[in-house]
Amino acid sequence: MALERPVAEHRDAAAVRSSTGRYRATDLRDSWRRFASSPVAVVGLVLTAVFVLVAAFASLIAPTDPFSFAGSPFEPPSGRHWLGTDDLGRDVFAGVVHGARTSLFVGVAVAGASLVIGTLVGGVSGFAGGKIDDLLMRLTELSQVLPRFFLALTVVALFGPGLTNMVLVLALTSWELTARVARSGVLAVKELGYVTAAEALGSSPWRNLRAHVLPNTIAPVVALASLQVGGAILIEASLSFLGLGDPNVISWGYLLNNAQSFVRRAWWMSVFPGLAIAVAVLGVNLLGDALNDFWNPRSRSSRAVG
Amino acid sequence: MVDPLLEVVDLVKHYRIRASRPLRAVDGVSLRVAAGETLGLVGESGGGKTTVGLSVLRLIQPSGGSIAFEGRDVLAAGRAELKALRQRMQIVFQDPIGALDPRKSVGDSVGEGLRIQGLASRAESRRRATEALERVGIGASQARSLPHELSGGQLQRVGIARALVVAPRLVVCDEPVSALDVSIQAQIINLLLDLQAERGLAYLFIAHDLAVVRHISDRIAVMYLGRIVESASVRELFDSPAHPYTRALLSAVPGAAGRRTVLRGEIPSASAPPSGCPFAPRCPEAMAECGQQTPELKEIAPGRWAACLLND
Repeated sequence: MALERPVAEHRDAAAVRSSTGRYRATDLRDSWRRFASSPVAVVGLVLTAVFVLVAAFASLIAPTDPFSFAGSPFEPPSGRHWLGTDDLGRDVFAGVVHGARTSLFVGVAVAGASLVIGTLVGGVSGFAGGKIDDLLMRLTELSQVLPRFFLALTVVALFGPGLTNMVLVLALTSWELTARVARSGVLAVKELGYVTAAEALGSSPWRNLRAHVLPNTIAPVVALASLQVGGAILIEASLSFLGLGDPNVISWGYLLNNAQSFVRRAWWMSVFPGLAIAVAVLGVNLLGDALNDFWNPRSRSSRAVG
Repeated sequence: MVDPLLEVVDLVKHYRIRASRPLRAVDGVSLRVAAGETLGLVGESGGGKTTVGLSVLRLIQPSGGSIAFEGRDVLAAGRAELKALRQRMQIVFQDPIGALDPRKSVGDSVGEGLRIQGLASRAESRRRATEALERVGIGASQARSLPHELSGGQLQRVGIARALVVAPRLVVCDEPVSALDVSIQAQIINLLLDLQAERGLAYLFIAHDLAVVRHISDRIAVMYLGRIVESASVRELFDSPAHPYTRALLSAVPGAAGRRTVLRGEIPSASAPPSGCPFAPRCPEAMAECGQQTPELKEIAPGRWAACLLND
């Protein structure tokens, strides 16, 4: 065995790992170093973390009810009201902080649904092939040609504004890209030797899909889903800006909608919610990009740990 | 030969490629493998050897012919029967790294067969996987390694352990050493020979290199363009090859006696095979009638078969 040449230069690491039996932890540390070596990844991660933490601890960060009258109308930013007050004397800071919850909920719910539906449709489509593939891909194309934003507008107009309706519409129209990415990944993996080997051992197609094909294709799909979080946040904000959001739920779009008439009189009413949207979307998109790079095997060598 | 373990009769696999004639990857191949015996299947790339190997386990669905394993019809087997059959025949692949899931430890990959076949609990399959790995020369400490942490030769040992852990009677070895360094090839061949002696395994050993199959085979079948052109015991084949294609392959073996026959050109496309004898356009001994008449595989001496008009 001494003559054999290692395929990759991981042999020392492997020896350390197996002798200590802690190779999972070492793997994680290696992965983290590789991930953190990209500035884009770090910025994305920090921004996303801030966004998520603000949403999670909104009531602690801003105890004021964003709908309650906290001061006189149109107070500019000050020590008491960090981001000023709106036309009814409501605290803008409380609005922005609590609005993060809505945005995060919409973003994660839509991306999550798109991940599940897209992986299922794309995975089955690519794995089964033939007529099932044809049928599912035509369905995907159908979903692709639906104009998301106007469909959302129509649904809100017909069924009334509400967060649930909005999430449903966005979820049902955003899985097509996920499905395509999942399908192409499955097509690439399903012909590989290890899938045939498992089949030769008696593995059923479903087991193969679950145990070998999906785990090896899921990375770019997850990266794509994280990019979709940003898209969903923007659409929710746009709809709320047009006054089609849920009036009982505070959101950044709602704040912007309210600020429309007072752009000159109270700049803080529009600037801060707008900034929040920009920063949050930027954060999740950078993180999505970084994950995509991180999981792309072709970028692995160029960003190897030194 | 009484009651062959594997009997393939007139196997045909056509691939239909859009708007053209079907590609005849395998065109009427018959072969038998007895228990504990090794049949070497040799030929150039594109000759249909791998298609035969995959068909035996029904990893691809043949277009025609029959395959019987332990007397049971593989092609007619239902789902449960096929799963049971696949415990008794296994396969080792050419590309050792591609044959292992990059996200699973090699120990898990080896134990997977036991889990799929319901032969062992999780803990038990882990233990038996480690045992199987040790038998092929992979230490227990490496059972938790991921495939990219091992060398090509080690990975092929893992592939062999995975095939053997379910205790098959027949192993299809699809060019198991072609992707390895020459120094490693001999180690793997010796390992396969040891395992055969220990367990009475039968091998269908596919290779493009006669030098490799010589050491491991009892009999050799030579394939050209989807057909078997000659089959004989190793000794007879090497001593007195009956088909010009076999002679050409033999002359390519390093250290072979006699003058070297260099074949002209490439193996023809299986979607547009030449008329007459498929080998005629490249055959150094071709006669006029070779272009018109397709030679049948005939028994030219007891246990010796060849498909060449020169033997008539």
